Amino acid sequence: MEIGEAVAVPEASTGPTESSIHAGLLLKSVTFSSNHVVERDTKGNFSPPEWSRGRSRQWPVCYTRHTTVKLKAHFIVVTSPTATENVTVKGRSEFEDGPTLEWTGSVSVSPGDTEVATEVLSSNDVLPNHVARFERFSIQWEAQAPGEPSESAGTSRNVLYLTLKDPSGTPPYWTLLDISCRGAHGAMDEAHLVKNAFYPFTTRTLRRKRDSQRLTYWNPETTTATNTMELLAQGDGSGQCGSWSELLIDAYKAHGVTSAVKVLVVRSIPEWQASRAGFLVKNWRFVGAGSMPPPLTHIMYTECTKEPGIPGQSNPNPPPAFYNHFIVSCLGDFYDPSYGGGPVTDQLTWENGAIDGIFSGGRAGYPKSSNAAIELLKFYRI
Amino acid sequence: MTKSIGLTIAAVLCFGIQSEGRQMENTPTPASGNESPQTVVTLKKIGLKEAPTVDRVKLVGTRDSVVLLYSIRGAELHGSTVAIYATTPAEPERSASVMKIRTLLPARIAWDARIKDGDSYELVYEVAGGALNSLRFASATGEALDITTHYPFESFFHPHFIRSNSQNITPAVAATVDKKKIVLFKQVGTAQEPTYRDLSVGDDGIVGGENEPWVVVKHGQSGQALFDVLPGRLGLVSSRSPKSGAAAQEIVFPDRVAYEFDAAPLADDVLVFATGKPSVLLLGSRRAHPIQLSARERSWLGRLSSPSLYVDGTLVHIAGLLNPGAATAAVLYGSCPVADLVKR
Repeated sequence: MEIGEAVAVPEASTGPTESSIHAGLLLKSVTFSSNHVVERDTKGNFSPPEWSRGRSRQWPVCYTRHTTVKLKAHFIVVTSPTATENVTVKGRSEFEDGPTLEWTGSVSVSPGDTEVATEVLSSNDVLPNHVARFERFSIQWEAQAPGEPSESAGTSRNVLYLTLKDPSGTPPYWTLLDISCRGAHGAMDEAHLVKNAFYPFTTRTLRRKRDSQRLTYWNPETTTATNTMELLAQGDGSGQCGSWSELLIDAYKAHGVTSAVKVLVVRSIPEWQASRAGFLVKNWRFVGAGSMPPPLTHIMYTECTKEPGIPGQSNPNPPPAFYNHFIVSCLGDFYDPSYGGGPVTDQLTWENGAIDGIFSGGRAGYPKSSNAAIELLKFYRI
Repeated sequence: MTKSIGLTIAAVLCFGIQSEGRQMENTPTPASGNESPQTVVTLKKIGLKEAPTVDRVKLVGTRDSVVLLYSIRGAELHGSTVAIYATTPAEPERSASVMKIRTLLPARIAWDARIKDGDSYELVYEVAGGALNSLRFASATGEALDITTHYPFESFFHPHFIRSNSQNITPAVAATVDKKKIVLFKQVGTAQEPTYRDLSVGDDGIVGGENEPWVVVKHGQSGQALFDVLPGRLGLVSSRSPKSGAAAQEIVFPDRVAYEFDAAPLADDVLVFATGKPSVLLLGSRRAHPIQLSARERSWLGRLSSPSLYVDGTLVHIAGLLNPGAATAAVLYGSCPVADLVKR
């Protein structure tokens, strides 16, 4: 029995005559159906039942918003009836400022039964019509034997995620759902989902749901993770920009939003392919005018010096220079999930907020402080 | 496309293995009492003192000895390095520098090596750019060629030379693109800009053979990573040449969860060394019957990374890295006669 759970003790247990004993039921488990089975961050799907009496942790449940919830409830027969009877069972869940969902069915209980189960029951109403993360999705269960008042049969509690549309193109990883549904709670359209689901990225304190491991950008810096699955599987939770961009894109896909794409950021294609030139991620200080001829006027590390960097995901000081970088474009805005930056509407704004200049070999130039109106990089949607 | 990168190619190690017999483990000596009767190779630690800092090992064969290459990542004042050294399983206290790769980023990079003309090294390695990786080939003369310039929007991983019995053919390099498909670059190191041919879908793959390449391919799946590598299922794809007209076929290794792997031709067969729990040897002709390995502690076989296979005329050599990155890290090595595996 759950702590704090109110369960009425059937009168039958207090010693009525044998001829008047009716069935007493206690919720054992709840198995949801027509839901999006949540994936345990690369460790496989949560297998039903989603709620099980006595289990220390209950599984998250995910549905598309504004849909019917189907479920099957199993009960322990705590009081055996003296004759076979149909017991009406009812589940009830109230959403604050929203609908109240009810599930009604009946189970046949015979003398000697130890467990009974309902058929698949459908809720009488649909879920709230917005993206949501409900920390305590509770269903209060009652059982009513013929001619008897209803008795509490227990309460199931799960975390409930509601997506904008059916997930598409990614498994509904637990962490994706938690980040996006928490950030975009209340969203009813794609525009709000895209903007608000990014909010948790801006905190740069994301954790993997299955083990609370911090998810980091290049921390430790030996990381090789370049996609969502690898980021969620790494023991240390560390990933490169590709994994962070895909994490955001997949967070949108978990809601059926497939319009986000990766954007490759380079000085130029030939220069990155030959490891010839890249960009300096903030913060670098160009000292004086530099001693070299333009355009790469400063000698790296002496005339262009590294300052404490802008923080990335759970990393106060990520690598300070790259040949290429991935960000995300969606609905006309740019997002930089690796650093929790954005949204910004244009390339120049992103550049001015993210880089300080260009490097090539041992030299640096094009300080952003004097090139704020010039696009120094190329963006390619891929 | 060609440029010098100041390679430090060391003269090939001239201290050969004193006796091949020292490496042979024809008669495994079960230590734990529960060894499989199929065990034919026992892995033993070799005394490489740098083992806790080693991130990758690779066996190659020179004209007269088996060489263990290993890499160590390092940090410089401004940037990082990957230094590759050579030693022998028999005399790990002696080593020589093979190459030092300077990198902008500190990420672990994958590399592979082969011997050319019996005593020179050719290498291929990832160049991490931040978002996308390119591949670079280092010739025996110290020149570096960017292999992947034809594909600016794809990221390349796990490069390796095609596993072949011939050392002197023009190098062909296989790799994984975007961790989704296995491709083959032929004629690497020539004046032509390399282009690739698709061989198979998959997260990772090892390509071997010559006229009609085969691919041992891994399809990733959900599960806990082992040394940052996801689990997956292995298959063997026979990739027929276009002239043959036959479609590529994949036959899976049943019930085999693998993490990293290497493969090599073994007579008419394909031999695979796959890390897992435990690590095993697999034969393409007997996919459902893994060949058990043994070690002084059985748990070692579930804690291996960077598997490497090398088959010379008479012996199969295998090596792997135990507990990489930990203070307890060690290089394990073992060998057995080819005949012991072929006859199975």
